[in-house]
Amino acid sequence: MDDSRIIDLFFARDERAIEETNNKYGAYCFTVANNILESREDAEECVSDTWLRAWNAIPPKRPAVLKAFLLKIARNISLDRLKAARAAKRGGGETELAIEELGECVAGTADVFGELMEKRISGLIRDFVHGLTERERAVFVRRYFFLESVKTVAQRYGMSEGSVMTQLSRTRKKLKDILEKELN
Amino acid sequence: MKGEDLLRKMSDIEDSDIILSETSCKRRPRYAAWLYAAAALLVGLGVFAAVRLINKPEDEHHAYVPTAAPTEPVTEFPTDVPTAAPTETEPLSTQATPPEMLFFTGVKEYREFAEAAKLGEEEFESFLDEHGTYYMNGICSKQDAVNALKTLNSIPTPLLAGYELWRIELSSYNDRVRLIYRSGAHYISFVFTISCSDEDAESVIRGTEHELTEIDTGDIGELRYLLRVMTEEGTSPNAYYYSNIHAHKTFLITDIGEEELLALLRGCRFITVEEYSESADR
Repeated sequence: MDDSRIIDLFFARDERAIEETNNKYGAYCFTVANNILESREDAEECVSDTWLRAWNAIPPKRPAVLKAFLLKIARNISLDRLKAARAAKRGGGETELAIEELGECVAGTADVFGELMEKRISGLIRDFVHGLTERERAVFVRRYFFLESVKTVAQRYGMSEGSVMTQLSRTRKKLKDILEKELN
Repeated sequence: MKGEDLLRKMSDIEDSDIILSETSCKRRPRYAAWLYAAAALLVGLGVFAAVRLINKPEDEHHAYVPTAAPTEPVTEFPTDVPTAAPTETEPLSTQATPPEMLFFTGVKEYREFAEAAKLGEEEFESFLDEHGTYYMNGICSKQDAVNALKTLNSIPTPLLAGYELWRIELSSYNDRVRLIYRSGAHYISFVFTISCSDEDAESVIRGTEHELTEIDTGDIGELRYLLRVMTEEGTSPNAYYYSNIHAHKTFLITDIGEEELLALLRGCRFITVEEYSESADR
């Protein structure tokens, strides 16, 4: 079923919307959740929660790209769950690594957060990622959006793990420079 | 600002950039350069030899057989390209009603619910207030609870050696009960269709677009059939099966191997959720 038809089902409050969404995007959302949580049971639960959130959000929202919309919800739910798990000192190995890696980018930036600053940072990251070359962007997104391991990214793009790490390191350096310049 | 904040902000990137990462092609492996060089050399030699052959006398033609240049297969990712402008997730609407899905994380929660259903109307309403409407979704009255329990107990609940019933979901809206079991890092999920069906393997195969393989279940008489959904290698960490257990069409998802699954099903007893929860109490 195409996405616009699925979204129409959501708008019609037809419960088949969830079944169709699950059939089409269940595996994608599961993969992201599982990458973050490294627990298949927790990931399954996050996927179920994703459908409920999508149900609550559509309508009024009409996502332009349903797949990305669902992936973002699944990702955010999984990160929330991971935060709780981290507080309880368990889980999240690959995500912990990604957090540590990205921590380099913000070391030394001002620790100021507020609504305006949040929006500014969102915009900076969006523009930064969008401005990368196709290859840089693909590797960066797979690592820090999908939370794939370096090994998986390397296999996906036919690169060596060393090349992926080098490329990620360069990209993070660029991001660090931008954040330092803009936020300090 | 921390790495964790930055990781969360990655959710704000454009939809097209997320999708692009799936459509980017594989880079040719490093050895491909050598392959291409070798191929080019062979082609060059071929051309050279062919030119020589053309210029040679007739009786020397058998001396050369041209070799085809090797080609490297290039794997493409699906071209799922976005067609519309990017979007962002928005705060949840509080007006819409979610579908009726009742969750219990573990048998203990189920027991609490079952016990509460024995209380008076007012006490049961207090129970609902305490537990919120999210997990008690679809339950507005004691009668709803009684009906939900009746439905759950109409489903054959597997008693799997070494596995614990970890999550129970009742989705009345789509006629499903899902039971998730786990053992250490592994899990098995049974998605039962509540309404009964006596369909056989052949009609399932005919009625789906998935490629299915029938598994010989031998002496597992409780299973009417077991069909494995063939998935592209490497696309999922799970294996998927269709079955019919006690006349309920069942979808199984698991990360354990086929032999291990068959062994578990072979030694499995099917009881009710109520019986399961009582046995867990003991």
